[in-house]
Amino acid sequence: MERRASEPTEQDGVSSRPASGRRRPDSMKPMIADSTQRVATAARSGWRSFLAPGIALVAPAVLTFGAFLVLPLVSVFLISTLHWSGYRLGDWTFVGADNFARMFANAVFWKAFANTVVFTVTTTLILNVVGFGLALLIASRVRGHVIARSVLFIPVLMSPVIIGLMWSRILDAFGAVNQVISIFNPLAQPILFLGSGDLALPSIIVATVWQYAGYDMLLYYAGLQRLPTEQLEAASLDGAGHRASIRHVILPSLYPVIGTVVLLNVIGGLRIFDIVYVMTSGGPDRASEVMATYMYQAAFKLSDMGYASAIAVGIVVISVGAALLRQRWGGLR
Amino acid sequence: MERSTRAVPPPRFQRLAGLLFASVLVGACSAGSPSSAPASGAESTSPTAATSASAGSSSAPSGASATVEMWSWNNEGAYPDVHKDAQSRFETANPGLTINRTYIAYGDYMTKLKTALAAGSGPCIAQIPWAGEFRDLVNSGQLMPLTDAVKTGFPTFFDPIVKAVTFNKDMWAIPLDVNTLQIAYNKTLFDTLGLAIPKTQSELQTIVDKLKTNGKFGIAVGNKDQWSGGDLFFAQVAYADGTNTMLSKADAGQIQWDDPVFLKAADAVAAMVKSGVFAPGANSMAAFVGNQDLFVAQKAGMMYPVGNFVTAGITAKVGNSFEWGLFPFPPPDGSTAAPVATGGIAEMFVVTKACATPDKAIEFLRYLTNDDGGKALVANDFIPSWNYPVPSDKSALYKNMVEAQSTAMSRVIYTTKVYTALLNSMQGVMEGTKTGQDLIDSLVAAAK
Repeated sequence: MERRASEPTEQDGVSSRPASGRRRPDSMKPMIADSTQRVATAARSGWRSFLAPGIALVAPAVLTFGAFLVLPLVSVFLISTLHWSGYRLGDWTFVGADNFARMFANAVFWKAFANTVVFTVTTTLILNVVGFGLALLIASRVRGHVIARSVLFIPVLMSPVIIGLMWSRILDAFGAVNQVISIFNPLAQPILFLGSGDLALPSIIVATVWQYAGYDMLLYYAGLQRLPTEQLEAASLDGAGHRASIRHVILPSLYPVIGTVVLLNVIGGLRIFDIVYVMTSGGPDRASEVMATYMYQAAFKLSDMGYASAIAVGIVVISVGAALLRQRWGGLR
Repeated sequence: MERSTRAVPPPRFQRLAGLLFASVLVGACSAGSPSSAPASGAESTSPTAATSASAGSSSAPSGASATVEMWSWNNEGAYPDVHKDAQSRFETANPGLTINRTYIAYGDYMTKLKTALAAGSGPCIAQIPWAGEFRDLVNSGQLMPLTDAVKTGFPTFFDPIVKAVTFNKDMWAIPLDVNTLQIAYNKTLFDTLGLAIPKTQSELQTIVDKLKTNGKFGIAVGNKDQWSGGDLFFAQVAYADGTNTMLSKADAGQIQWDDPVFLKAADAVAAMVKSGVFAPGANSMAAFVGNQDLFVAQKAGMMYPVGNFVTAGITAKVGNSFEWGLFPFPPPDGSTAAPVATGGIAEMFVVTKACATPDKAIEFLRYLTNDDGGKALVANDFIPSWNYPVPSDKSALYKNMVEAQSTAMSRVIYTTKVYTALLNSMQGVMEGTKTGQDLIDSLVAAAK
């Protein structure tokens, strides 16, 4: 008979109770104790001998994690307390929390922060709605769904830099969109999607949604594939329509997927850089400045590494906060 | 018995695990070790190659053979030909010495250079932008002063150019060539519409109005990457400040940025934006991409800013479609000043303290700027940063640029915070959401 995982055995080095529940004869006690001790000793020495290969096997991962995540993270926290231009390693001054004070007092930081929040919230909402809708379409096996699934995922595989360049030309004052508009209204002034403070950030959001909708779609599609068909059939027999099925059966079943997708979108939104940098560089006049582009400018254009690190710490704190919030988010755990 | 043998891994497995661990460590260590010196005449454009090459750049011995690492971002156009020409002459005259040229994309250039210098493994010779980063680099103590070196074997550079690379009484860079920024205009279109080169800004406005009535835009400006907007401001400062000293004084903190000279310049740009002198969408077009397309497609009659760094590209794209020429941004009405271009250093090089063979690096810079170097520059339509005779067979465009250079006004702010504020605010001015006064306020705030 197969042993249950939680059931202790002698092999685990733990003394077991007799299966029958009857008391053992006293004469057996020394034998059992001796046997148990020997097994425990052997197991201990056996596991100890696994220590070296165990360490050897995890070492590459731990070293990589330490070198490329823990070390930079600790460094960023340390550098955020310094005034350092970045040109010379030893040429720094300890300023304590001064960089953070400067950051909180700077209007550009708050502008970048607000833009980051707007970008994150908007893209997360739209991506989830569009991604879920596309997943439902694909899952309903409409004609051409296999091709559609592949085509919709292609932008995800492309570099954000390429996407940014492509959308820059499409939204250019004389790009494809404005040319189409001019067909219908030849006298219309071109719409300055990227050159206008009001339209720059929304334009970047459109490009981002275009790129990543396929990603969310795939995650939702995978979730839909795991839905028990019995529940949908039962709902259907009970007279539930499409909308009721989605609301009362599909969505509750997808809560874990929704939680994961939202978290990924939020973290991706908070650290957005490349597509913004390529499409507007944060302009015009800071209209689409996000925290990552502002941090880049502080570090590599203004040579203010301490201040840039303070912004980086801000991004880390907000990202971790978002992850914790998600964990505490009631029904989505 | 069976249980105990299961608990202990076989010796072969232990050896295998140990071997795996050791090989990972060795692999990690060897990945970080410096690569061998590159082959003679090596030229690299990949960041990976740049990193590996840099690691070996300063380790060359000062004896008979050595490799001098040189970094630049100018791998477009004819600059690599000029560099290669000097390298060839240098290596022929100095057997055993090798120049390794590494080209890194401009967007990554300063990031990589800064990181390499901080790590003590920067190149011997580095191209440096004529901007705030140059002064930051000087102040960082990572550069070698070239004041004494330049006294021997170098040409006499233009005086304003020498001043531009001199801080704290030391010269820190070797200027290779200079450029001017002017307005390119469609000569064929101007002739067809009976337009002449404007002498004042009101004449410019008249030209723009006439172009518009003929379905064309005025001046195409690509200000998405911001620097073009800065140059529009500098072009107005050139007239508002007849002395050509106010920019450097304000930059040095000797006068304030709210001086009426700067406000006048900012207001002049804002007024031109309001009256539609510039083609729409400046902030959404990259310089030399969107605005060049408009000009080449003859949708805009003019384009700004244009210098020798882009003339070859425009000529190639225009082909035989139309004739085009250059003129300086015209002065405001009532100004007694003659039209002047703005300009300055195009390409310049520094020698870093990370260099193990600075004498060899400086010697190579002599080859870049000697008579043959000047010849190579002129042959490729570049303007040497010293007096060099213009061959009679050079194009009218080239002669125009050389002539404009003689009176060109400065276009640099070294204080990066102020320069960044200028560029951002100019986007606001170009969009029409900021006034000249707003721009000045942002400069004052950034200078604090």
